[in-house]
Amino acid sequence: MNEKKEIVVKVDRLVKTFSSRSGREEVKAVRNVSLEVEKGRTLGLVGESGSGKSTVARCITGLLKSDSGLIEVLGKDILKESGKSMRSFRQDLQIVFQEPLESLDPRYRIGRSIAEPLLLHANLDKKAIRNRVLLLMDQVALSEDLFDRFPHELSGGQQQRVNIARALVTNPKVVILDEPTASLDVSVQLEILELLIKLQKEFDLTYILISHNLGTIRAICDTVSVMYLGEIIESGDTDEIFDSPKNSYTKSLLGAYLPVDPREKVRI
Amino acid sequence: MSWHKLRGYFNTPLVISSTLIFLFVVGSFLVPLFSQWDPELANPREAFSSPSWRHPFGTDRSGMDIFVRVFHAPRIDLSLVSLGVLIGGFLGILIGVITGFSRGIVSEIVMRLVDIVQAFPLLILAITLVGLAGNDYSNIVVVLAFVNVPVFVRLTRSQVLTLRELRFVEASLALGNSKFRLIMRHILPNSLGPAVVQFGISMGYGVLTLAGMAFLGVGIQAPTPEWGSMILTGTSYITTGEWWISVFPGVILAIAIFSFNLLSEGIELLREKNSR
Amino acid sequence: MSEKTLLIEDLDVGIVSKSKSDILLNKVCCSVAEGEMHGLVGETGSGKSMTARSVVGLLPNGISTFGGSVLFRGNDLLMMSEKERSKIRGRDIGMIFQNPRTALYPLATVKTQIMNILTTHLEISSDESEERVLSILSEVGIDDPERVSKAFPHELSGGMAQRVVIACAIVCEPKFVIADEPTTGLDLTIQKQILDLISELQQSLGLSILMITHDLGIVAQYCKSVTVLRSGRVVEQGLVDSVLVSPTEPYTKQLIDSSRLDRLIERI
Repeated sequence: MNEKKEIVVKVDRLVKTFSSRSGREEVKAVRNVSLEVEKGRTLGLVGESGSGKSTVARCITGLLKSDSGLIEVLGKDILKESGKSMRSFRQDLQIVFQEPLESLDPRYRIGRSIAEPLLLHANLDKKAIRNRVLLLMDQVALSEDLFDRFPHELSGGQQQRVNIARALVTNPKVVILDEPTASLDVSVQLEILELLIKLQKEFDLTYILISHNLGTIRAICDTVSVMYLGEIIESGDTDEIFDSPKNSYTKSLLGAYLPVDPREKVRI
Repeated sequence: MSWHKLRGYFNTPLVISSTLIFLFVVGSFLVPLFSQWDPELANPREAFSSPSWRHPFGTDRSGMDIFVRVFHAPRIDLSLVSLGVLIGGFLGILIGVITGFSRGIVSEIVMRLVDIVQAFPLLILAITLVGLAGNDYSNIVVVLAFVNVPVFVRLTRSQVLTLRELRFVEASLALGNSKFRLIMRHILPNSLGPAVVQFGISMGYGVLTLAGMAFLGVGIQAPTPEWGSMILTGTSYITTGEWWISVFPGVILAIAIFSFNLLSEGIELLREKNSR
Repeated sequence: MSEKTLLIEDLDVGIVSKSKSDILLNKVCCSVAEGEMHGLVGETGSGKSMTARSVVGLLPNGISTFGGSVLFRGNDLLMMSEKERSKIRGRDIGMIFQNPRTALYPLATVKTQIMNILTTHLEISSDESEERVLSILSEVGIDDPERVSKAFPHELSGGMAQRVVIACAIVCEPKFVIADEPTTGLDLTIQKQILDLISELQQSLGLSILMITHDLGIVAQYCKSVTVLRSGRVVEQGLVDSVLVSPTEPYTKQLIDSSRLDRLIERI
């Protein structure tokens, strides 16, 4: 099959360094990272703390300004976009964070929170906005009567669904998921991941999933890039990486994954 | 909004304080209107009358009816103080949000200036400034505003500093909000909480400051009725037996300050309830 | 049939306050055999931490035990005075907490803290205890005990801090250790190291361990037997090889399925 690959996100030799207030200490959070994501597929960025994966995500969304390198999303050069056009571009490039409750303005009701991107970018009247919000709520399986509630009245899983609804309300093409299920209970994690998969199929979304949880990565990612201390040390198809890792760090990372079946022993 | 929902907004301090303040405001219009006595006209024949039906609070040395004066005073007191606190509060919140959000050398300088102003005891500062600038009403308002700016700056700024670390700030930007919208729509509304409570407290303080200034002979002058100056004119008579000249204005002043503090408490309770 | 180091029978724990009363643990039964690791597993709010705290008598204000018994080597801990219990804590029962950096006292060096524990519980000279500090630190796998002993908790990495917490827990040579989510929040590879360490120490020191966790993987790989808790009640318990391989209760099945995220794609 010779279908032309449509590369939706392209990162080339990204570098981001943080320096302390006094300027004396420097941390190279991201060094020379390159990656590509095809349309409709999911790239997993896996790594432990300090690996730089969250920093890469923020650079791709333009929330952090990278020092050098190329970031191209849907053909646009992120580093060259002006403030105004970048803001408008966010209709197509969205991000869901790890903290379900903290990502929402505590004073806004759910319906209002989800509607915010529409208020910013779309030219719809009140009724149309309300309908669209209700539609999204239905798609993420949030009951309609939560429309007027406040974030703290919802459970963690529900809060995260709100964040997902809000991220999808303007029909974006690319969604970055930064540890979207890390702070949720295991059974809720499953629901959210299933939801994300369903939405991806329905709307042909392209995902970049960041996680330290190997189970999550294996569950929904097509390709994986393993990060360690700011660099990508191995990349490939998910099955390849999990079944035959080449890099020793990847191997030790996979070795740390504890199977739930006691018959599969992964010990020292 | 159904009555049932409205019920939730009432709590004891809020109700009591609002009623008291309401009475003060209404009283300041109605009492002078219905009283036979002119609050600013001297009436030597009535001088030094003790409290009676004719003069419920007695009269002072110029024969002016204390009851009518005590209830006329809020017109000046409350209006000057509200204006001063509102202006000071508004400026303080603005500066607080700006310096909280943008860090850098300008913020630091502004904060140090705020420190300097706050280092002076409130009353002394107010008296000095009014004393220098002159006793007219606009100066009083400006001074009241000025001395209130620092506390509002601090309250708002500390809220903003905490808020800006929260994820929803980053999320708002990720949605496409400009920094301006972020501040106006998300940060400001969330940082007003303590400031709103402070309004009540500042009002109480403001009334006290105004009275204190008048008591020391600065600011509002006789014969304009003002609680502080009324207390002043009565001090020398406490020992000679005409206690009512100072006591009544004093008690009413205390009640006024108390109601503002109670108002703050009521607002605080309301906020706590909402954030649950 | 090995002796039970810890035997919890029909434990009832609840909140008693003026405004409400709530049952947190309902007739909970659980046991840890000598020399074995027993997993106490459940989601948030299942009551697993509460169970641990009831054993050592560290329940928060307003919460108390109403019934049942906690037999530690034949003696009912619930019947003891607080004074007697505090003697047992630290000396006969070691505790490893979640969040190592907050479990340690921030204002004293590692050395000071461990020495404090030693001098509180044992009759030991200060020279001896200094030596003991260094030896226990190497026992928990710290390469440079001298340097670490002089450090303050905030100067240590997560993994290092947790090793120190483990050292504190075993320095008085208790026979029983309660580990409450000892690896939550740590990086994956560090998690594995810490769990391997705990397992090694269990073998070499003959410890009985109550491992409290929400992670079924940890239970599957390191525990001999398991108790599954849900909303304060025991759902299922038994040997890991049977409960996790062929669970009888639907909740247990659900929990296992949710944890097997990697099987997600197959299911959808």
